[in-house]
Amino acid sequence: MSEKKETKNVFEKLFGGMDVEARFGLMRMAVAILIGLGTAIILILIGAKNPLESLKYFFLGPLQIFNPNVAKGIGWNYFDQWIQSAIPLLFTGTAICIMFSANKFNLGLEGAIMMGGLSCGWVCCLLDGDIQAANANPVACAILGLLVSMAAGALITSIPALLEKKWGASIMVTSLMLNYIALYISRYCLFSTNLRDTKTSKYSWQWTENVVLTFRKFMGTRFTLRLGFFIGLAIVVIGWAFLFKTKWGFKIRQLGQNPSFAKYVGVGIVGTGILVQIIGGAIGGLCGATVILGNYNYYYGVELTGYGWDGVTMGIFAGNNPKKVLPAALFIAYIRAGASIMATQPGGPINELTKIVEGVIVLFLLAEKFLAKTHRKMIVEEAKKKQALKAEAAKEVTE
Amino acid sequence: MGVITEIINTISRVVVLPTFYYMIIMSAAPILLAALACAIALKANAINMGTEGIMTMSALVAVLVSSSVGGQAKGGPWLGLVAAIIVGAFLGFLVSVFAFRLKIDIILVGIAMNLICTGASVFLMYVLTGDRTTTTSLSSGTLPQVAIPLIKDIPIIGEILSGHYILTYVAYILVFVMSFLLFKTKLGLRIRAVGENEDAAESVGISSLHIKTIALIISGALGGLAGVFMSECYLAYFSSGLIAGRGFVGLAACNMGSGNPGIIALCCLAFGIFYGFSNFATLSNLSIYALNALPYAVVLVGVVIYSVYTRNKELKRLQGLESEENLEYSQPAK
Repeated sequence: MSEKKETKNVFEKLFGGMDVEARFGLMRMAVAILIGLGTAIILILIGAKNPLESLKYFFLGPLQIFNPNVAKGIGWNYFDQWIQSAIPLLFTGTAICIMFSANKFNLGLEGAIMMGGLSCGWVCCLLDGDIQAANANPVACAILGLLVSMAAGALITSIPALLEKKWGASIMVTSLMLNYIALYISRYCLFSTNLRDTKTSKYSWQWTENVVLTFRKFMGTRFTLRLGFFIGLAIVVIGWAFLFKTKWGFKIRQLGQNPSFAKYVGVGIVGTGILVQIIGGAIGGLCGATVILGNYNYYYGVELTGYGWDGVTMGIFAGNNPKKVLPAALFIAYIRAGASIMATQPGGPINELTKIVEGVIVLFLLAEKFLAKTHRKMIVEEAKKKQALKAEAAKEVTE
Repeated sequence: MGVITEIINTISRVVVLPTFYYMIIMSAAPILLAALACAIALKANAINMGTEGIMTMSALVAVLVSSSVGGQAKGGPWLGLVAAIIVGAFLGFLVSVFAFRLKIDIILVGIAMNLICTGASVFLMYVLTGDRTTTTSLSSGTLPQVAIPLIKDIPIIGEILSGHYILTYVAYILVFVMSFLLFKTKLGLRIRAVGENEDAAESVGISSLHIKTIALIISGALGGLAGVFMSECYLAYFSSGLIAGRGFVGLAACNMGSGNPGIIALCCLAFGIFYGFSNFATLSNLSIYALNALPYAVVLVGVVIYSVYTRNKELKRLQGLESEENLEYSQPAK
């Protein structure tokens, strides 16, 4: 009995200060994540040859810093893998937060990432000769690549925005089609132009490593420090400040919440709507470039990356607030890293199961009516508690 | 200039082939099925973006069921077809549960559905066959091709119209069935009523939840058919990139036809022409990637043209209203 009371006290200490809505939001998120992880466990039990081993790798894998194979020169470090998979999520999450805050369902992020990676790769290939001849500064080259990729990304997402503005074409449909067009542009450049490396015929020319945004073998062989992660963090912070601390951000959120009101108070709704998507696309392009520069020294985009859809997941997790993108990205990246570590073990199931887990969590996070009864109960309890307090106070006064 | 002559050359080389027209009819069919799936949902005011995922999942289920029964010889493809329709309908039902009972934005449900289905299809494929990319190791077979009596004997037309897979014919027949369902039956009237104005429909005693659920179940079943087409007619196996955005193209076609089956069929045939071209890349010196991108570019342009058209129509209507109003106001002044 006493033990029960004690736990309740701890609970109250932690969450007592919050109002009911915030507490319920937290609870619903916890339940959704638990359901997702439960799904993961079931899937692993179905798919793995030795489930216990696989479960261990899935849940604890990314925390084990050392991968025994790395010493032999095979694979990535596990912790490194975690951070690495968080990088694109930081970018796309922020981009989607900004775009969806204005209630613009532009799904062209996938294409923006594609074009960003492509244009950055092209810049690196073009300037590689100069860098080797010491005519160009490798850092300047990397920065130029990033800038070009931002422009390319912004171009891709601004097309649906302009089409909507000019002719009212459905932004969702046009942006979906542009993703595939971007994919084929990328394939065309990779296979039919002089970007292609004639020796491997699968990737572009390889450029010299010093353009790459990593300091490989930082601290011996333990970590690869990725500059991309810090660029991503910067983007998250800038995105948050932009959305919540500037005039533009306020306009964007106003536009998303109530377009008629926004128009009434003098927000240029057309301009803001387009601006949002250009910013989103620029961040997407940056994401593509960072992934290419951070992990490879060649361009390889022959398939859609899927990062654009990840962005939607991230936006939902973060509730369109870039502040929450970091924990959300770390969480999803943890699951993914765990799954891919598990998948590399002999007899481990395939890492695609994280998609199922993410989808399930997204659905339960969004479901308004999910746990509605508990929500009502919590509100009633809170009200009763307040009433009791009031009655007590009244009693004291009369006494 | 060289590009333009090459384009003209390619077109002139391809349009004389009867197989080109055969390919148009065939490659329009899955898009048509997907578009019809989106259409019935759209008429109930629900955008079923999950069609892509439903297609993926049911395409895989068809192959798995078919091969587990024993493949072509034992009627496996037919059982696969039935199983895929059931799975599709169930997924459509799931979309409706999450969207209407648990109150999630239906576009986001669709996105989550696509995520889950693409993950689940690869996971299932790996667990059951040990392969991550295709099910070529299974012998699942295809649905039969039908030779239409009489028509098959006419020289060129027979080559174009006859000998298609049975689902191709089903797809085109479904256009008429869907028109009938939507515009001539009680259920269709109710679906449209709920789509136009939910509250008005509720006020005359129609349960909008019920009707929307039915619409999405039918939508899912049609998506299932589209999936089967891809894995048991278009190809004889399932692979992870099989659907390749056809569900989204269907959604675009459905948007262009604003849910009306006849117009949708025309849009799909127009897209089919360009899908057809991409199948004849070997006859052309044009880049295969340009040809592959063509259908999507055409959809993009098509959507824009369609919205220009509707916007102009709307403007004209408004102008008409304005002049009527002017008349009304000017009369008392006289």
